[in-house]
Amino acid sequence: MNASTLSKVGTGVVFAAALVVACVLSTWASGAPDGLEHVAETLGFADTARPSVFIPTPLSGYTISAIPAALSTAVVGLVGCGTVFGLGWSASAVVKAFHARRGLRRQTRENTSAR
Amino acid sequence: MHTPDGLLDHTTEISMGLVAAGALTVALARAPREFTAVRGPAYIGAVAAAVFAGQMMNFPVASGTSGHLIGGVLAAVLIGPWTAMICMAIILTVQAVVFADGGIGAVGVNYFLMGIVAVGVGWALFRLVARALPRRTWAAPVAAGIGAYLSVPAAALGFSAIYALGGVTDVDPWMTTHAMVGWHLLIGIGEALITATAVAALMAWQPQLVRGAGVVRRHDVAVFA
Repeated sequence: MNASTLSKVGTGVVFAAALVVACVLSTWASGAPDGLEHVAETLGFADTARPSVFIPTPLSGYTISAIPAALSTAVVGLVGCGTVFGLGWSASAVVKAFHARRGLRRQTRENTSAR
Repeated sequence: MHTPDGLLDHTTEISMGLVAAGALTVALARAPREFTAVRGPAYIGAVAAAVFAGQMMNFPVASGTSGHLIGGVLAAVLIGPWTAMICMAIILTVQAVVFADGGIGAVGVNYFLMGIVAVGVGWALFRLVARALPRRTWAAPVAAGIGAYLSVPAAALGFSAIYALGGVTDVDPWMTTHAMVGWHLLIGIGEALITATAVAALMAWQPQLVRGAGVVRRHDVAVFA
């Protein structure tokens, strides 16, 4: 497998794994408070927490109340993973282009061919 | 470990925001050195999505408490620590803005804990352990698991320190530290298992998808040359 193919296949496999975890497996995610929430409740400093979003997002708390829970998890997982994937891809593409334009083109090329 | 708004005073939130912005600027400048033809922008996006997914998957720990992957070490070992810091910034911002998970004002605090402390401590430990282990394929997942394990209580310790400085209530800092580090020593086991399994699977299939494989390999050259 050449580098370009391996990159595409690797991207596909890792993103598919992300979707399986986010859309399917997380249906069984524990709803219990996480470590920080639990400590905050036990030590009595959880009460000062307040929501920071002025207009409540429809996806708040990783659920869409209007649709069944399992479907809601799948939609939320898809939207979340898709957004992060898109932003991660485009941000690093911009960073890469910016880096190349700043006269470090040669260094980048050496890195890409060496590893 | 997503700090909501209201737990910390504004000075602390803003200070941590500035620290986060500074660290992210350094990461943006250094990350391109970690890019390769295989581990390019698309793969980086996929790893970021996988870390986001891992953070959704809360696993039960003990007596009504759960934990979830932080993923800082997983990302660092797969795509490099500076690139991982960019990914963590994206993940935490999406979580705060789209899912109301972690306060928007506290995003700098959460970035400090999960993007700087977890990634930094975990990657440093990974390198240390990877260089001490024999040159075998299993060295990378073992080192990644150890780094991942300790990155969780390290972030918990970070939270305790920040709460002692800027928390809005007067909880005894030792109690916060004791409870936070204690619980996260348990949660870290999940972090270690997930990280080691994912790294082991990718190492067995295609080591080029694992940046940390290079640490193990470079060490080999140094030792056996």
